[in-house]
Amino acid sequence: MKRIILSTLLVSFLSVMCLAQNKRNDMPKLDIKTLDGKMISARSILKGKPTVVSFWATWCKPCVKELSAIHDALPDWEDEVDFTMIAISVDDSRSEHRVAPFVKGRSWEFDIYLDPNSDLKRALNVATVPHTFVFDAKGKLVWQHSGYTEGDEEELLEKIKSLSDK
Amino acid sequence: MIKLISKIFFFGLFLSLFSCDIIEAPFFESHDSGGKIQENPAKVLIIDFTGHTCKSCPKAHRAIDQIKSLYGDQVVALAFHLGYFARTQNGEKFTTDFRTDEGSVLESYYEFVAFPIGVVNNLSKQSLTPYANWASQSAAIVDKQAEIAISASTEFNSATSTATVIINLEDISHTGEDLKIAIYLSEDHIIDWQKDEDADPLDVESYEHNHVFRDAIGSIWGENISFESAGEEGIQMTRSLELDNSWVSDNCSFVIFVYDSATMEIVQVEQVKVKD
Amino acid sequence: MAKKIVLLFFMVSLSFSIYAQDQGRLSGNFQMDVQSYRADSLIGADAIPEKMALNSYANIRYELGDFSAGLRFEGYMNALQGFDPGYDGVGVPYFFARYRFDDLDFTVGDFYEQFGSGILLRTWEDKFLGVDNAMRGIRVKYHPFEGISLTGVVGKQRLFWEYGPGLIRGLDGELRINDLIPALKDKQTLLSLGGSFVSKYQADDDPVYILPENVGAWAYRFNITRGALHLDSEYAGKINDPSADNNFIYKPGNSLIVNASYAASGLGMNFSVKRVDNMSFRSDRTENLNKLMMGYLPPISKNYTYSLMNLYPYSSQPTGEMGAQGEISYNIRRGTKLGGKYGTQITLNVSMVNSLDKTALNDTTAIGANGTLGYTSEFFKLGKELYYRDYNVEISRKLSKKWKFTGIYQHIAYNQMIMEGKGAVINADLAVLEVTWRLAPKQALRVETQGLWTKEDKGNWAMLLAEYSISPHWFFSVSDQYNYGNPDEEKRVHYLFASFGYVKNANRIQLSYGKQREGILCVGGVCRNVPAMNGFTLSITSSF
Repeated sequence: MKRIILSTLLVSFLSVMCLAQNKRNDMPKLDIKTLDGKMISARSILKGKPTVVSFWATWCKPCVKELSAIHDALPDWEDEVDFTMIAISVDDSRSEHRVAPFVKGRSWEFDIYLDPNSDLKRALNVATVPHTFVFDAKGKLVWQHSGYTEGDEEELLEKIKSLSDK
Repeated sequence: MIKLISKIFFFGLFLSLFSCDIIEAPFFESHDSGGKIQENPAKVLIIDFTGHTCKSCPKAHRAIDQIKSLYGDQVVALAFHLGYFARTQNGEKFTTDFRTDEGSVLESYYEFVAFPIGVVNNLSKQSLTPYANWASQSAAIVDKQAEIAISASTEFNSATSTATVIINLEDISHTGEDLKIAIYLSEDHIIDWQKDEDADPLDVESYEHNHVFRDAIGSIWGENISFESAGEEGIQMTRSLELDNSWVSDNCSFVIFVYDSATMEIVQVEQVKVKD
Repeated sequence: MAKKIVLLFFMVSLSFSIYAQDQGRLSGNFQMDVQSYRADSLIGADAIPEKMALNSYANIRYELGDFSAGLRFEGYMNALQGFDPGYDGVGVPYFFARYRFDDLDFTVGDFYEQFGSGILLRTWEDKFLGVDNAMRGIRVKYHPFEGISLTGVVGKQRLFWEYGPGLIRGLDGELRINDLIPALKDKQTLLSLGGSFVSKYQADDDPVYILPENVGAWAYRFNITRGALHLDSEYAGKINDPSADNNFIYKPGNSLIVNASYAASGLGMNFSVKRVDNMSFRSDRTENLNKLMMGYLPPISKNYTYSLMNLYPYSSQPTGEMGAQGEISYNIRRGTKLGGKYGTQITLNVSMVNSLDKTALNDTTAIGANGTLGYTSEFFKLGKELYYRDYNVEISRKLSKKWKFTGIYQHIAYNQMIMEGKGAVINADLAVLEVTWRLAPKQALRVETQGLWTKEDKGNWAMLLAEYSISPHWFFSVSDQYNYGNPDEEKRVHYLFASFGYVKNANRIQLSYGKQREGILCVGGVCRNVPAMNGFTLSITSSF
């Protein structure tokens, strides 16, 4: 009996939570750094389009694989859906200055931001990198994924496709 | 309003920037020697956990020397060689094994992370503290009156190399129960190898190892005592220990201390040479 | 039972409060690592009396408009081997409330803050390292005009379940010149200047030394960007700060970091130099290891993730070091003869770190003798003792849609006595070949072959790892590290390790079994010793 009450409450709790998610912008009200060193509001990177936000670091192998895979697939994806790709590096002051040369050296064309003391990473409850989020056009967080294995970018593409279909 | 508060906050922080204490030489405090209490002063037991291949550990040994130079025999030290850095090596250096069974018991009790580390007048795990704290922790004790008085004398039988200690404990003002007494044997002036990062070369061949723990009478945790069942004149006890023939009896001492087994706090400590 | 009622009450009230304010967002994560231990004397693994250990964390964060608040539960029952047993226990050591509006940003409670590159102040956490030196106190950020930002902090630092004795006060300001001066607004060259002051207070109870109770430190920095070129630098200094780290010397400390980089499409270069002189900065002068660090001195070496490349990792030496690092990464364009169909990435990296040149004060005082001014040091003179060298070339290339490979050759020299307090300088050559074969669009087999060759320490190592993954949910891996060149023949051990995992969205579960060698785990130059282990590991992470 108690278990039933508990699970009913849990369900209602979760559904209220989902209900509550309608109106807001899910990006925390925090600042991130541009490659020029300027602090900007993290919310300003969501520009009314479905947005992929991927947390990565230069020293993280699977992160680099994921972003390389996205880089390779980006021309095809952009033909299919209208979305923004953003990568936020959590490199700290040890390797922060390596980010710009690293990205340019690989010719990655998406927007790169820095989160050198992991403030945004913490606020979005990221335990380990890579960790990828998908925000819809209204700024609602619709999907997230932790880790990367080969082929995971296909699932990501499906998610952003399903958003633009709506 | 909130802007005003934040401005005041920044202004206050700005003022704190001017609080810099630049110290001019000499950098050492000047002291009168010894503590202030004449009769039955509280004594301090510093237990140093160390090892002969631990290159930073001589810093702790020197810290003990410094504290002893301030407070004389009000400070009693013990050095337990244990753990990774006390392992012996093959070859010529670091072949002497200073480890003991009692040390292994302490190793699993304290779960050491790094050496040197020690405890001052308290055996609890939470009391583990870096050597740089030992002086200030000792300073907080030496000006107090002892709560229990320990007096001890020794007899040594050279034929059997057996050392006997006769102990008399007197309750002055102690209130706690669960008291225990522990009696250890330590040896000074052992000349052997030691790594020392402040020496050149690093491996010092004739380093003087002091306060080295050798053995305990009975358990490392000692035995129970109670003043309630004792008479007016306190507790008397006599204990004996056979010395290993590799130990130099002239350099051996008994370290006797009483502690509260509930709080692990050391109430009083005394050191007496085996050959008085 | 009572717990369940509390839980029910908590959930119901939470639901209502959220329903009432449907602009709010509740989020969080959960992480748990469980490890069982079996004794294995050959690899030096110990069994522990409690048989297994568990670290767990749960973050909960709530954001509503300008307001946010959060807390973290932590449970170490007991702490995993290699973590400080001071963590053993359960509690909520981290919570904060933050209010942000217009040009002001207030935080009370626990927070993580970094001034500049962090030389003077960086409070941070890394759960894998067991580092958490969060500050508890007040933080105010203020942006009075476009182009100016100020941050002020007051507080104490976390030490396991308590707080250190030192009181920290810090102020940081940054000016973005292009935003401040309208005439420069649209110039290509971007300039920003910054400065910070940090002061710590700790009472002097020490009977031996006359200690400074207030230790002040300052830092200046600049940052210039013009197109592809970038230059930044930070210089920090502090007054006398005798501590256990510097053997109680009264010499002032300083540190300089310079980074220059060039980033163009297909070509990236960067060059850094660093000098550190007596710059260990903690909120308790007696502490050691990773405890109560205020400053963060970024190590000037590259961070690697391949297992054998982490056998001898470099960490910063706060008492003194000088080093330089240079890196070039070049992308041979796709479609060219050399570059192949998908292009080829080549990276060259060199890091070198030496000791600081130290001269004795006079003939009778040893260098670094306690209770003295320590030593003198010429700013531009390199010390003679080698600390670290790393020469390294990495090539990665995608051969076809199905095949990819990465190859690395590295030569390192590692001063084990300085890093670990034992041994001598280790010279080692390393090679890594990683091949990824995409069997199907969502299936891949990845094979890593690694080798490390050295005549010192534990001798040669070889490693083979195979990982099979089925996106998006499953992965399986087996690996063997074989210490075939150990001078002690008995210790030529195979470290076999297998794991499998399941991932669904942001939920991840991984189960592993096998032997792990003892080693040093470092993130950002802060390291922890990981003892050898033999047993099961279960890890769960989940975010919502």
